[in-house]
Amino acid sequence: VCAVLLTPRSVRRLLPRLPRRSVLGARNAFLLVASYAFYAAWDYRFLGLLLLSTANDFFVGRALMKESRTRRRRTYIALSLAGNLGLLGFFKYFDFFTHSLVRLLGAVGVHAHAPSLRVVLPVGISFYTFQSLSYTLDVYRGRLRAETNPLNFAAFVAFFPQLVAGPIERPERLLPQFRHTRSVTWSKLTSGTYLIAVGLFKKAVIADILAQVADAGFALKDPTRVQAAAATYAFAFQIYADFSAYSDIARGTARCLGFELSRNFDMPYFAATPSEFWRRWHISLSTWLRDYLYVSLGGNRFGRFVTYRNLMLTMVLGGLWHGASWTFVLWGALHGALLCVYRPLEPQVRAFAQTLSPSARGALRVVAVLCFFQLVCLAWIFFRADTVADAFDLLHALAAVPSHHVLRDLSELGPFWISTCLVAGLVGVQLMQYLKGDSWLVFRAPAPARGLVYAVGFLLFVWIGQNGSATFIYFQF
Amino acid sequence: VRPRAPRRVSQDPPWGLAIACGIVLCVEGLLRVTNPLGLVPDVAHRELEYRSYVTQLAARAAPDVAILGSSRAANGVIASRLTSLLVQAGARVKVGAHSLSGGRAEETLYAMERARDVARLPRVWLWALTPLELGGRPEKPSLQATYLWRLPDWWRERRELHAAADHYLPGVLVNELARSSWVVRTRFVVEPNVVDDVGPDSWNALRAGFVPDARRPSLMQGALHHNHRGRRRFVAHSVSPQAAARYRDLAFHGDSALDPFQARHLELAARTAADSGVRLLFLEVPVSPRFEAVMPAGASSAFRNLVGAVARRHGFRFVTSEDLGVDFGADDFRDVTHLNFRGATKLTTAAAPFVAKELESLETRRGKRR
Repeated sequence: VCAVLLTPRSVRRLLPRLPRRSVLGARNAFLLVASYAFYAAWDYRFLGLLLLSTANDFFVGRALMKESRTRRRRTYIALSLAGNLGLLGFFKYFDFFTHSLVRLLGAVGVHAHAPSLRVVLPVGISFYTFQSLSYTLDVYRGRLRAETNPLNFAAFVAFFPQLVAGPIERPERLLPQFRHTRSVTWSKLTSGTYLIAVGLFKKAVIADILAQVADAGFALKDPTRVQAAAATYAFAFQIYADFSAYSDIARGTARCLGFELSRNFDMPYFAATPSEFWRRWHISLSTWLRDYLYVSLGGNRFGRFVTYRNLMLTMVLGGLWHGASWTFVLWGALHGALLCVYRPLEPQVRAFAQTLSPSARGALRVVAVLCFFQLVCLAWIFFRADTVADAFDLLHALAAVPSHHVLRDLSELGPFWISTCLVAGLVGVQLMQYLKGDSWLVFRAPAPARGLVYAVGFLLFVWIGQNGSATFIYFQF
Repeated sequence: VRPRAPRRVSQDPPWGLAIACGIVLCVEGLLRVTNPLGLVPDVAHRELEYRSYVTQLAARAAPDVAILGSSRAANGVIASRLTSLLVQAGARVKVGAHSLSGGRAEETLYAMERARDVARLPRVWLWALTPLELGGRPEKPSLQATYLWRLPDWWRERRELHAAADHYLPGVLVNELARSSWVVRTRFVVEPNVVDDVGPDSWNALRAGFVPDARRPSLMQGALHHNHRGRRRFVAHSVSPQAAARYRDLAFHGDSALDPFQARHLELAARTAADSGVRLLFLEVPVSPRFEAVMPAGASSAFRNLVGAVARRHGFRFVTSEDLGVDFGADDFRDVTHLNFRGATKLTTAAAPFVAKELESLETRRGKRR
């Protein structure tokens, strides 16, 4: 409906007396109302937080633009940081930190009672606070001119396709799209619809069926080695299919409205090194953390030790961003450790690779991809487990003696064989895309091949797609 | 991989989409050719059990006598035994078990509505029920009922339930799709591949109902797997006070006896039967003495008064426990509300003459026999 209503021609037809220069404003206003309605549909009470964050950053941006005195500018940016991180800290981390403090005090013999407020986590707060914050930080650094139109800025913060689970868009990329006339072309509509269909398939067919295997495996009290491994691999592909599905749907929806959102995933499991993985996984968050946290901490400008410290801090805070739990902290720390370990080795590995023939280099890359995937999966155990103890139990199971009843063990994990076929299909398609260097391979394939893929996708969606299933994993962050 | 914007910007017809539609239509055609009666799901899941009701009926139509109600009806009246008894009494009929587990008055109404959709209606609907079928629900409408809904039902319920009915509109649309498309019906055939919560008690009462074969008592009773081959003693189980309290809490909220919503659906069901020209015979299914003790005060008498009044108003018969003249003891129950095979045999034997009388009255009126 939005795609049809929001073309300049349709607005002019609906409102014939509207001046031509106000058409864009009317379209943005419509989008803003739609975005607020979308958010209010989850919980209208939290709309106030979104408005608060928007107003705070809009006025801070304007003040930063007008102010040239460093001290005042620092005060303003501190106001923006305090507003956004304060909201995030209270709603997301209050209970976590108070309970952790009480447990720490209990460990040293001091008994205290935590004021448990049971704060409800507003949907998408981690995403829109970061997006809004990147605007004030960019204005503060002088990279961006402050937005003068509050409507454009509010629409930028609340843009509904990516409001609740990203991608976290940069203001220099998304804000100009609200300032200029957008065209909704046939090409954008078809490619946007294609992205939405791909996202729906990934979520309802792949992610939700893999979720049954992962949930069954992680719920087992004493999983065998093969069950622990199957559950871990299933979760690795589940979270990828689930999150990239949402990103695809968001990009597709935005494209149908004439917007272009950034790509959030770039076949991350084909990464051979930790740094490459973070260039491919949740790209909008990893680049945000790099530009606004890692660089702000000093990056790699102050020697090796500070670089490692910054890497660890960035990844631990990145882990904590996902949720208020020690499991996420450990997940971030593991990835930080991988980055720190690989960093000094990187030049030597590159130099060694240069000495090899192209085929040997290719073989080395395959081995590296497979090995690094195992490390990523080990880290996912901490991400998925309910508690740190559960994660270590699963790791313990992975190191246990293998059972003799492999097939029976696997059949206890629900639809394991269907899941295996789906993962094989997903990896196969992505491998072709990777080798051809074209992520639009299916969309651009000849019509018969494309038709076959669409038909098979539709039939699988109807026959085994899970309806009424769980929400996207990243909605909880 | 560098993301590149799609190059195809021309406004060519979407050939890929057209080919995909063609392939799906070919699959639909193939399924229709190979399954002219429609695909009948092998159900083992409550949603499928309910949804399969429509496809079962569409594929095989309704038998002469259809047993309606909940799992208490499914466990209490044995279709194959009733067939044998009616044949002995001179009526050549086919009896089908159309009861649905958890089916209260609203589900039974929609089971009757769906039977009306097929070409051949049953001659007698035997509704075996207890006060539990007229008890309340925590939420309305019940999900099971909506598996049987069609668009007109949704519209009708919307007048009373308003937005609550809209919540189940997607399910209603799936029902409509399943009616018209074999491809969508295939979903209910392949579903067990991805549903893993199939309990040991899951069974398909409907499938059994279409097999009037006394050699398959296990299917007829479902939960009788524990004792149906050679053993003479039928052991009642799950008759603890906790089980009784659990059933009471499921059906009766607080001290309320019957739910007006279910009572209204009982009335609607009787009206549906009267409008369709089908005889509706209400049969009271006994519950265990332990459960009788925990039911809200007056629930039994309110139930009998209500069903009796509805039956009288529409010219139908309500057969109570007194009419049957059979004593049921603790050994006749599988649990606090369900009869076991022995209890079901007693109930079916006692109910058969009443069913035969209904069939006889129909034939007398139509002037076929006498």
